[in-house]
Amino acid sequence: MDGLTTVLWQPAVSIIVLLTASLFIWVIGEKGEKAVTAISASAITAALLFLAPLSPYVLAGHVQVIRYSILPPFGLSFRVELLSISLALLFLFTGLVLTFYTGAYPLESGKRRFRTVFLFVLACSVGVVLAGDLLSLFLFFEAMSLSFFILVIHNREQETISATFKFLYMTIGGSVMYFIALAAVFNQAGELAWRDGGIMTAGGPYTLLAFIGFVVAFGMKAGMFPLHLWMPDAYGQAPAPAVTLSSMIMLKTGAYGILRITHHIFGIDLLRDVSWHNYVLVLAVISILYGSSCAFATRDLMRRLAYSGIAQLGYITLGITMLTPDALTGGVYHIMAHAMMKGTLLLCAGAILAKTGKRNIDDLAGIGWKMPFTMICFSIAALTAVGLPPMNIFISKWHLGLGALDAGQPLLLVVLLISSMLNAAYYLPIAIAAFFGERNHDLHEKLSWDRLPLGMSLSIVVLTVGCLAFGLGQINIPLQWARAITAGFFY
Amino acid sequence: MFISPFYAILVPILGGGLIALLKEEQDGPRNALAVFISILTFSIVAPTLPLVLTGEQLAFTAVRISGGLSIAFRVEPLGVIFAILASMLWIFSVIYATGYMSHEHHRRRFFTFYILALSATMGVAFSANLFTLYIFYEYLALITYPLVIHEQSAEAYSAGTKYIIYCFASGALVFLALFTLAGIGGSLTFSPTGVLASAVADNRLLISVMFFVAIAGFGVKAALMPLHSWLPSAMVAPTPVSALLHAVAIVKTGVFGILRIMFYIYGVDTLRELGVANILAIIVSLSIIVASVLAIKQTKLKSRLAYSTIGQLGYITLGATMLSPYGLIGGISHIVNHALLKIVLFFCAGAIITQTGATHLNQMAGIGRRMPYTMFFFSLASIGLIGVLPLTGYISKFYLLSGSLQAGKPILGFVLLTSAVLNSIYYLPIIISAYFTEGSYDKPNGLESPPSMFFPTAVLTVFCVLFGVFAHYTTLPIVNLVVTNIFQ
Repeated sequence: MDGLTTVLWQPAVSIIVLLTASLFIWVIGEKGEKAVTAISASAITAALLFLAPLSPYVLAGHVQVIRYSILPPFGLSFRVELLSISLALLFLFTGLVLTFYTGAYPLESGKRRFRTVFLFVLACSVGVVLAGDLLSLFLFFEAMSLSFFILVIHNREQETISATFKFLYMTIGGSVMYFIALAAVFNQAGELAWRDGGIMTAGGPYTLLAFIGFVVAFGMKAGMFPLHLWMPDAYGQAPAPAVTLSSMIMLKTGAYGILRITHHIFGIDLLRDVSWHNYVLVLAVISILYGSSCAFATRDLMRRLAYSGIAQLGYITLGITMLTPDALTGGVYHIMAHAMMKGTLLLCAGAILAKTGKRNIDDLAGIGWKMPFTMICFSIAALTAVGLPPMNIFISKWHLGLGALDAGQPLLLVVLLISSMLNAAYYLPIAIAAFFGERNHDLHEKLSWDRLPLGMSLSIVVLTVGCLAFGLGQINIPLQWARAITAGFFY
Repeated sequence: MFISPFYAILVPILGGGLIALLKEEQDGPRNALAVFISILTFSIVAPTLPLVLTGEQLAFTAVRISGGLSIAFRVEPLGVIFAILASMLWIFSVIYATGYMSHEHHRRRFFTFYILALSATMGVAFSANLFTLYIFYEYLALITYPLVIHEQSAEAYSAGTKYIIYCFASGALVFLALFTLAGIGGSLTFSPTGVLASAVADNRLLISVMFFVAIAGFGVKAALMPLHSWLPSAMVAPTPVSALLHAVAIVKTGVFGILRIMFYIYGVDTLRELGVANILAIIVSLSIIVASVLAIKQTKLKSRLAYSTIGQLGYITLGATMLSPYGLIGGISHIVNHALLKIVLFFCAGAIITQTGATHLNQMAGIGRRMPYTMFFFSLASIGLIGVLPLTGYISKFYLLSGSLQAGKPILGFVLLTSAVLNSIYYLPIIISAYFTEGSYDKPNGLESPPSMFFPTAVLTVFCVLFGVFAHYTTLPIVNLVVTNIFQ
């Protein structure tokens, strides 16, 4: 708590600004796309400008907890530290890119509602990572999860409605599990706020109940097997911007939650004692392998990206549950790297879907000549996913591998290798077929675009650069941050 | 001496009398008078809150009857919670009723008894002993009968008959318990630590049996299964009646009576000694689950809300049976939280009925187009009942769950969570169907329902959020006081 005596207003104000902008969009949304994009972009930029200057403070290792005495039993609290600020900045940055994409994306009717809820979900996800205790996190987590369904159901067809119900009921189930975990922690520890080393002191039935509850709630959000069932259908039905929001941002809150409870509610000493983290580790491995295999098997592009997301989030969860510093560095770095890679893939897929109406991979042969820009970026992202240098996912996998050796689990290296090969197997053929496959002659265009709208192409470029940035070379800022975050947890 | 239960009871009686004198066509004066009376009653009652928070309590004796019985009132924390809740919601309901009833018949009769019922509720809230509580309990049942049969259709009359039979049976059970316990224990004056401690040793079986008799008596009004079936039938009454009386006032009188019996006649120690709370916990758990399951099968909106009420009322009693401080905090705060949330739901249902005529859920596809804000209020209140932050329902859930763990009975926590999941199964499809399915509704011209109905709903929805976020300043202080007094 040194270095700053004033109470930091930035977390609360940033979230309030985002929420207010969301309301604003609802009120004036009929006035036009550009206005809506302007409001969203300004609000997100404002939040970025509020939070970014806190970087030196948090990089120096300072932590501040801000508490407001509303919301019983302990009030609403935020915690400013490196992990929360870096994730908030990542979410805001990717959210900003996505805002421009969404503004240009041809959504069917109800665009005002979509963009209102979009910004609301973004605001809540920032709230999740900035929250300082289990109840505050729950507030934002539930708001984010429950309102997301409005984005899923956007198309209102029958299949969409059943996908939405699946999503909703699973989310409610997760919330119920979280709630009992919350009560169990309250009962055992008497408090709910993050503390270094954890607040639960001993294993026991209520502690186990709490652990299971959190793992279910956060794991479901992160698409962890076997709680991933909502993802493929939701991703298949929701509009591309919503899917991207989920992949880049919402899923990460689940992984973040697991990270947080591992270190700041249960503590790694307790977990090493009871070995519960191993079960989650196993589930992460299953997620990686299962997700990759299902991705390989499906021919629908969006569903393939969904299953791939399950696998990729598995990497992050793996990094967290290995309980070694390098693994955590890899996992945290992957939060950023995956957002870039998956974001690019999804934005390209969305562009393809919007322009041609095709979502089946077999229909995409030869599309590289009709949409060269899109497919080049897609290919770059596909190569990134495989984990080849100079793309930055190589770095996450490298650290995960180191962590696996540290943890004495060389088998996990094999898992990483297999999944990288599967990544190649289900991404590269799409790119290859796009350029070198039989040109699909009845690839009629749904829209008469000569080129993609600027909002869409710019966002794709930014994220593609993100895949390449910091891949090689001495200066790797995200890696430094990831290392610093890990240092904060393993001291 | 302006703060007095006497005034709180007398003002609505006089008001009801004045309303009865106005002619049927004099809607303007009658509506204004009704609203004024309810606001006046609330302002009489409201100052009791700061009063009891300082620790002070006021006692009044009206009439002494032989045999140690008396009609007496006391201003103390639990009674204050109920009185303020009821009188506050009465204001909104009267305003709502002026809009709802504007096209109905027999308005003079309606408002007369609607206001008189307020006096009965105040009497229940401020009763200082079981005999007084019984008197006002019976008075409430009689006064609300004309409201239940208001429509005067065959269905209404049969619902009314069922209602009055159940009420008299419940009264008889309460009277039996009252009579017996007075014989054993002497005074029936409520005390937070119970009054039967000395009598338990000699009359253990009798006292245990009387516990269930008394709980059954009040359990009828509290819609405890299997004594609940008057409530779904009573949904035939106009929605202002359903909203206030059957979601807020009458059923809360029932749970209020249960709490009085459990903690102010028996007391925590006696209950622990007799071991009766566990049996009641089982009965209530079953009631909660079965009611929630039955709610899913209902196709009429008001019936679904009725079964939801039956389940949610169980939470209050369940919290009480845990015999743990957190559990009781959860249970008592749910009296307030459920009332707020449920009244919003009923107000929305009433608006839907008057504006579109839709009573069945399959008629409500796409109704979000015609009534977007009303369905938004409905959505917020529904997720509040499911327990979503920051609406006020989560607080009860949190304390109830913590209480079940504190009492070492996690199974009760699972009952609550199962009920929460069931709640979502019967509320969420309504919301999705309203907004996201094709229907035959058009956009509204102007305000989607009359202002007298729309604005109370809106304000109360905001309250649902404010009471959650600012619970430290609204309900929790006084609930904590009640619980501290009980678990000394």
